[in-house]
Amino acid sequence: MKNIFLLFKKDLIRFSNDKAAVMLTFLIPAVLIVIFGSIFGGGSGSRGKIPIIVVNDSGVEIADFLVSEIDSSSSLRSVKTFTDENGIVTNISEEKAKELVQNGSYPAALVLPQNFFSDSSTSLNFKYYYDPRNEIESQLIQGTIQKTVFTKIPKILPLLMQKQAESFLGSSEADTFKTDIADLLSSKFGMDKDEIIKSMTTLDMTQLTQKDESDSSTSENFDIMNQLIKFDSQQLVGAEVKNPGVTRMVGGWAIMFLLFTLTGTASSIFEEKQEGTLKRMFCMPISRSQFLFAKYLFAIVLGMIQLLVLFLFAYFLYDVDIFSNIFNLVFIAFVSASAAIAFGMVITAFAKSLAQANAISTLFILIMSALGGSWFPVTLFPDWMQIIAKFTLTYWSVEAFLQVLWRNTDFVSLLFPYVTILLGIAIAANYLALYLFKKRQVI
Amino acid sequence: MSEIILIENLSKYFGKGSTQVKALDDVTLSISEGMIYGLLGPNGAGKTTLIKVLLGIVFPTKGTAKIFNQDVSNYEVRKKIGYLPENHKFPNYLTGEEVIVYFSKLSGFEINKNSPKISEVLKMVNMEKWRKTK
Ligand SMILES: Nc1ncnc2c1ncn2[C@@H]1O[C@H](COP(=O)(O)OP(=O)(O)OP(=O)(O)O)[C@@H](O)[C@H]1O
Ligand SMILES: [Mg+2]
Repeated sequence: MKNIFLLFKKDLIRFSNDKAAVMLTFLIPAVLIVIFGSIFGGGSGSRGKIPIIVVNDSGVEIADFLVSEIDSSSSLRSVKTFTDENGIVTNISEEKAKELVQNGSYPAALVLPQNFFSDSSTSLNFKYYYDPRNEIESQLIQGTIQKTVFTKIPKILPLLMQKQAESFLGSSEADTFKTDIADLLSSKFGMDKDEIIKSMTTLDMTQLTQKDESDSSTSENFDIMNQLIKFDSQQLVGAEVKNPGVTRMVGGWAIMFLLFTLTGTASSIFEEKQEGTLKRMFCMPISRSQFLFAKYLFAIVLGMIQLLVLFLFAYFLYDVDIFSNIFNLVFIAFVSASAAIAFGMVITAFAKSLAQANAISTLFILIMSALGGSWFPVTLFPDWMQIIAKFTLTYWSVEAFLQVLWRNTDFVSLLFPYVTILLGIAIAANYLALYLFKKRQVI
Repeated sequence: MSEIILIENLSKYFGKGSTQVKALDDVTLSISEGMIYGLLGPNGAGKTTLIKVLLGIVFPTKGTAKIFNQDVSNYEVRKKIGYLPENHKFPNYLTGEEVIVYFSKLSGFEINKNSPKISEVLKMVNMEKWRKTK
């Protein structure tokens, strides 16, 4: 028993002397639980409102009313203006809205066009442009818009129906229809018959703005309303993508694996030191920069081959289209690998031992992967986390892969901001690593 | 006689603050061509550190060291130097002949696996049977 106690004590001392192990054991779970908690509700700060573009070209009162309803939605944030590079704010037109959805600035645009509703209208006509870059987000937006429209519209429903009848039967017969429809509505929805006839003749805006307590969005209602409310939806991005799920995620995996593999390559300097081969190398007529540059080059080649294998698997098993934009894909893989190895070099230059390098890099890679969008789409995060996400290398790489695989972006639009930022990170990190290597004489 | 090794006011400190070790403290030394020089001293005197500075394995804190009239930071001078570090290892992923080829090439020799020179040097150290072993 005494031996067990002494051996137990030895393990305890061993563990607590290894700061790296202590950090990995307690810090990583703590940090990750905060990130997970913030994403999936609870904790501090709830999920941010999803921004969607609202273009109101109609000018009729009902349109203004619906827009104001969307404005006050608790899950959507309506965007109506656009600030260009010169800081000039303009209202977003339908064309601009399509462009902004296409390039990934916003996930969706709701347009209330000129023919939204007029005296001759028999239905409300919406146009809806969207980019299902994130399945959950996409469904949330559509659901919210439909709910807003469908729960507020019953008040103007009778008017629409009457209009339809008039265009069908001519106005003389419409009067009889009016009473018939009032009968029908009062029996079906339990509305007051006189009220219905009144509202069929005049559209009263004050009535619309009253709070509607009874939520009448049942599926039965939806069938009738679908004929009166026309959603002209158009998926602007990824419509021809065969496997959206994998296509959207594969870039996230790519950068996470790059980070793990290439940080390992960088910290192999410690292994070479332990093996005793590093000393042997440095007696040779080679310079430190040649040594580092060769390692850098090797890491990039290794990373590119790793991604090649990953993408080939995605292609053969999941039909992810890697070939139609292959040049851009290879380029982004190269830029991401450069940034990843530079990150690894900083960790290596900063750490004092292999164990420390492994612990620090594991901590940072897991946090960056969670925050930067490797595991879940960043658009699901609360606003404050979406801002923090932009400070991770992972975010820019994930977004760049999305641009290539999901949006099929051209080379020039990739350069700014994605490639610029990733290369900027790579260069800055390399300088920092070189500075630390020199100052701390790690090698 | 020309000076092959010229060391002036060379110091090398390890660490900082109270735990700082002054491995070399203001060393001045010159060694001329054709001399055989023995460096003696007790454990921890700084012999290895001095050699490491000359080979560019560690960097001096103060002072200068020159070999063949060139500062030791110029790695090209190492082409003319043979050195066997303490506790070093050859990479265990290379065979005997590969080690010879690899390090010869790093030193600037034109050599390949079929060079007669390889068996010559292996014979010299009686290690021919390790030629194909990692
Ligand atoms: N990398 C290092 N970090 C910290 N201190 C070091 C380092 N290398 C050497 N020292 C210290 O510098 C001093 C000189 O060491 P050095 O190895 O040069 O001595 P030496 O004369 O070669 O000794 P020995 O006869 O044991 O080989 C010693 O006090 C040693 O502990
Ligand atoms: Mg020694």
